[in-house]
Amino acid sequence: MSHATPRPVLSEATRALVRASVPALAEHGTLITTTMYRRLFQDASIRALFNQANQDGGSQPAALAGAILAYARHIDDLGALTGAVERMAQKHIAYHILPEHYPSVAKALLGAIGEVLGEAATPELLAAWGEAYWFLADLLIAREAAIRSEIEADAGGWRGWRRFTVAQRIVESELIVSFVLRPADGGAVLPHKPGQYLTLRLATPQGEIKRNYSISCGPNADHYRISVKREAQGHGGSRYLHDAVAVGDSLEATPPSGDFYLPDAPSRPVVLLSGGVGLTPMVSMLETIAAKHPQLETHYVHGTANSASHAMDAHVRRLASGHGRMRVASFYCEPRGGDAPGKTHDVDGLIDIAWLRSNTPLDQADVYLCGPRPFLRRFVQELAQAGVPGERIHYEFFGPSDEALAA
Amino acid sequence: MLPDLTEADLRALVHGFYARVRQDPELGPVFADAVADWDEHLQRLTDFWTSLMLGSGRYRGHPAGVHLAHAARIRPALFQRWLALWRRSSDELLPPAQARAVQERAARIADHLQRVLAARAVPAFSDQESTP
Repeated sequence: MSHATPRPVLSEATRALVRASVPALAEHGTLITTTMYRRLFQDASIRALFNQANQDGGSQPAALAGAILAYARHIDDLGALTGAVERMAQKHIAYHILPEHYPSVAKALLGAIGEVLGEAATPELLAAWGEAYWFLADLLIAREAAIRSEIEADAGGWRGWRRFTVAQRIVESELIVSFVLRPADGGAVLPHKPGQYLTLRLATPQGEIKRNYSISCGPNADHYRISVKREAQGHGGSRYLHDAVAVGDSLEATPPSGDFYLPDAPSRPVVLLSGGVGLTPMVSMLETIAAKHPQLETHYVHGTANSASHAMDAHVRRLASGHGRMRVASFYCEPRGGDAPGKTHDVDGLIDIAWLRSNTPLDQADVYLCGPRPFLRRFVQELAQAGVPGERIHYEFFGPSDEALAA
Repeated sequence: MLPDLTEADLRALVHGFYARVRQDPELGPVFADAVADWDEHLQRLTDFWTSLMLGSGRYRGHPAGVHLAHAARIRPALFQRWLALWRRSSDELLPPAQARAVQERAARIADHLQRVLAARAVPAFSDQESTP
């Protein structure tokens, strides 16, 4: 991978001014970025670029404030920011942020610095920040162009938004529906890494929105499948998919991304631990293991409310019986009439660490976790307490409309 | 002090964060060489964070001095990486307000340690960092 290396071209005067604004930024950082987003989103086309869900909890302004502050702190040693630049560039690829969007952000950022700092925002300070902003923006623009070229060059790869047609719509449980997506242009798709997600652009009646959904099928050149839980209280992405999207309809997606995935050559037994709709990346991993890793000892452990919410069970059990070294266990925390261990599921109650310890090889396995925040918090801690070292714990948050994002 | 932040949350965050650190291609090797006993380290870091965020008073130590011992290997870029992983882990494991609080604190700590390392001197751990 070729990372752009920052060149020391900012003048000493510019760097001094940016450096001097660090204390004020630290104090007002989140206010500046909140103000910036307000100004930015006065333009509806810019507003549509961002995932609205991330604005609500304040996590995106906070992340951007952190990034701006880090940039100001490192103005004399921009090489220190290489990792952060790479992460931002990847995220910009997922949301298809293009060079033409950068001027609007500059205007909003400088306007916000001016508004929040008041008289302290001298013309010289604003000019220095303008220069510094474009220095960073040019780095990102160059890196994003390089990444787009790499993806485009791969078989089935593409750049930006590509139109997909819903080829199949499968009801998986009373809350979860799968959508099989094929490119409308009839071409191949880029095989994803099992665990990665797609970013969709949906034209809802309330406007355009973008959402990330984990891919639930194994990698292939033909299609993707996402499995979506209807979030009644969410921001509308899952409601739109459930209520309005039928076979034959189309939507758009950028190429798969994300760094939570099963490696090409797993070297240890695997425990896939999911809560609720967190099963989606796990099913992708299961399909991959079934197809490519016949010797890999695998434990699929899934917790859900009851048989009404339990998704993809028959599919998972078919994969397991065809594999031979794959064990499946499902837990129901609210079994309903007719649900019985041994019949609809395996164990009553929540998944617990004692069960995992006696039924899975925690002392040697790589453990993959995906689910809502309390689920992750609990198991990250309990697995650690059970002696699973951090290097064998892999986790990703998956929940309604609240995905954790950097700027 | 945040009403909804508990010791269990911080313990989970410390474990989740170091899980990512140990798998990080750049941070992992540095920590692998510096940390002999991970159980002890994670307990110490949980004490550190509960002291900072909850006033547990359990942490007794000198982070700046500990980092100076490894100054030769700690490049500024590693601080950025450390902070980025902290931001991501806290965003994933804590609700937004709690995540923001631990992120702001972590940024100040990183800033402080970087100044100490740049000066190659061991000051007393500043009050600003140790008073919750």
